[in-house]
Amino acid sequence: MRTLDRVLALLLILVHLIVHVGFGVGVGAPDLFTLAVLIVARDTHMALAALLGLGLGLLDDAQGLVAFGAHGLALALVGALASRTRDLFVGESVFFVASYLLVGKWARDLLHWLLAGADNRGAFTETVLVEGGLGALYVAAVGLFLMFTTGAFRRTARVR
Amino acid sequence: MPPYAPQDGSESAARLEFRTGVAVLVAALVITLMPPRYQEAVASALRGTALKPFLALQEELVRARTRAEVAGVLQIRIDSLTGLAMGRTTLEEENRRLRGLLQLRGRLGPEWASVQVLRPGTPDSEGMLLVDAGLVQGVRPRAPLVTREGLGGVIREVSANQAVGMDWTHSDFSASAMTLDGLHYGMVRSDLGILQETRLLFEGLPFSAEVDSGTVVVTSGLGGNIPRGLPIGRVVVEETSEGEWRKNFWLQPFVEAGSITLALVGLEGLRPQEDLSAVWERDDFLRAEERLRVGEQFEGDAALRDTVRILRDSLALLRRGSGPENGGVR
Repeated sequence: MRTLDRVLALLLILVHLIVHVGFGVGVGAPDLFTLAVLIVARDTHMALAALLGLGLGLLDDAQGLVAFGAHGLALALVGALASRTRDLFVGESVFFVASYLLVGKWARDLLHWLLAGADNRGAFTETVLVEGGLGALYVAAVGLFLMFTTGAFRRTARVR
Repeated sequence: MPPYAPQDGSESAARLEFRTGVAVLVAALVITLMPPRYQEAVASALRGTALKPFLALQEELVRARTRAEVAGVLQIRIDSLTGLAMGRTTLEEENRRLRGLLQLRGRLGPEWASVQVLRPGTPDSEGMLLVDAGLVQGVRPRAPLVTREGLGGVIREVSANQAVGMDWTHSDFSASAMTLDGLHYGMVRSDLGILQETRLLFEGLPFSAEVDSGTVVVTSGLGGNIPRGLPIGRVVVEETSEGEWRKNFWLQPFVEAGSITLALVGLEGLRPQEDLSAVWERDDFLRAEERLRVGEQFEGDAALRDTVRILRDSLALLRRGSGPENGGVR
């Protein structure tokens, strides 16, 4: 993994913590933890991606009072699966990057909804389809902007 | 799309990578299945380390927001208190006027009635005022209108329960007047000053008359409508517009025309030849703001007297406590 990816991921994690934890902004800010995991996962092996996802997910879990570990496991699974996509897909087009980020974020919300348990989750339609869909679009838009602005995704593809 | 090969190309390394990844996932699963007390321990540790600065930031923001809200609430309270205090000032002023009028009425006698004065507020009605008493209450035309400070105006027309009057700023206002010592007589009327402002002019004094500035001018009682001795104003400066055969003087009126809201009006039984000079004492010829200052000074003096009295009492107590009978030295 290149330095630029590391710096970008670190910045995303830091901004996520400042905006979501420090400023207490809710859905108004994108889920930059997931974006960081998805960026890192394209360029590193499965264990590291899963570990990063687990760590960041646990930070999310630590702020909640219920279903501890659900965010951790969901993000670890997303990291692991995202890193495995290297073996299946290669691409640097806008469509591929957007789909990758959109599906990755949506999968994270779906997994969390499944793992949170019936008592701790909202309605599927509202939580996963509506909120999850909008959140995924938000992350994809922000991710596309960042990755094409910094050139992270193009360089990642060249490494392959 | 074709499948992508592992990064290092080594089968064993890929297998190790996969197993490690699976181990991480298993660890994540174990964390979700841990007993709540262990989960809470992990969460607490994370909150106390990695999340600590960000949670502190959030706390600071919440505190700042609360401070802003508290400041807003305090501002609202200050505004309310300011409003109350200002209302109280108006109330105090009204009370002071009412008290003054009550005292004055007691001294003037039953031929005077207290009235409320209203201003028409229409164009060309400057100097006019409406009084809420009329023929039924005994008000007659040319009756004087008096406040605590002195003569404020004169009634012109009277209907059953209302009367129309004019204050001293009206161009038709005039009253026979004299200096307080009774040496010089003349007429007082309103006139325009250099800046077209309405002022009181004491006119028709003989050329030989020597009147110092500050001399008090009161009604003379001549003319048969306004009793003698009602304060009008004090001399400010000589006005020499009539050559060398008469003297006129500008007056500073005691009554501020705009502040006449409550007044006393002379009733039918009022005897114009009556001398009311004794009603106002020598120290009583003051404008409203001067009277207020004197009152504040008096209150300040009273507070000072109270403090001195308390100190004297305390000293006396101390002396008694340290007397020979109590083992002390006198």
